[in-house]
Amino acid sequence: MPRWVRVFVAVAVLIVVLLVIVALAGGGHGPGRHLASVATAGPAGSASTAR
Amino acid sequence: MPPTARRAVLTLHVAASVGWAGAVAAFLVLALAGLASDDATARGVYASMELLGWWLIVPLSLVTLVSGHVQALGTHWRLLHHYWVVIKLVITVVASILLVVHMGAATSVADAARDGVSARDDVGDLRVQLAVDAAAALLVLLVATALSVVKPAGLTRRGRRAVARRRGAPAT
Repeated sequence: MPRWVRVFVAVAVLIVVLLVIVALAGGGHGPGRHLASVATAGPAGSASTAR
Repeated sequence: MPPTARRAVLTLHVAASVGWAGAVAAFLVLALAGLASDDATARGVYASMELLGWWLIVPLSLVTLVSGHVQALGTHWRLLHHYWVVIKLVITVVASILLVVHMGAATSVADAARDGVSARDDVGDLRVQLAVDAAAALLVLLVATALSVVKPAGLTRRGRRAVARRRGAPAT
């Protein structure tokens, strides 16, 4: 595996770990925060409310 | 893939992926403007962001994803033979999923803005998050663009085996 790929993967893993730590530390952020909104929204909803 | 079709798909892929980054940049500008706007301006800003997201950014991400697959599978690059292609694939898939999930935040803020954002303290964090998400997305998309331009060398194991097969020798 080329060195640039190792560096790339290491940085990506580091960022993911940091995001997980922030989420676990009480950031209150996660996919579930938006799912209710996503379930009721979409292109049709956007168009109908664009006034 | 015939040369004409290959060029057409490549043009579509470049246009969609660069357009995706450009639309995210516009989304970021609106998100930052929304943080400093009064209620009347914020209503227009967040309604624009919702439209921009659902009607331009999400479709462009899907076109980028599909055209990238077609381009990779229909040319010598293939999908899993070069590290830069694999990494771009991962970036595009993850960014598309996160985009659709996080568009819920844009819709929530746009809904709240119709009532007046100053009266909705509950969306304050979401407004900041929209700007942070857009900045992160723009950075990631610029990385993907740089990978496409530079095309750094490096064959995956599957790629090395394919090269060895073409040369009639065992892969090392």
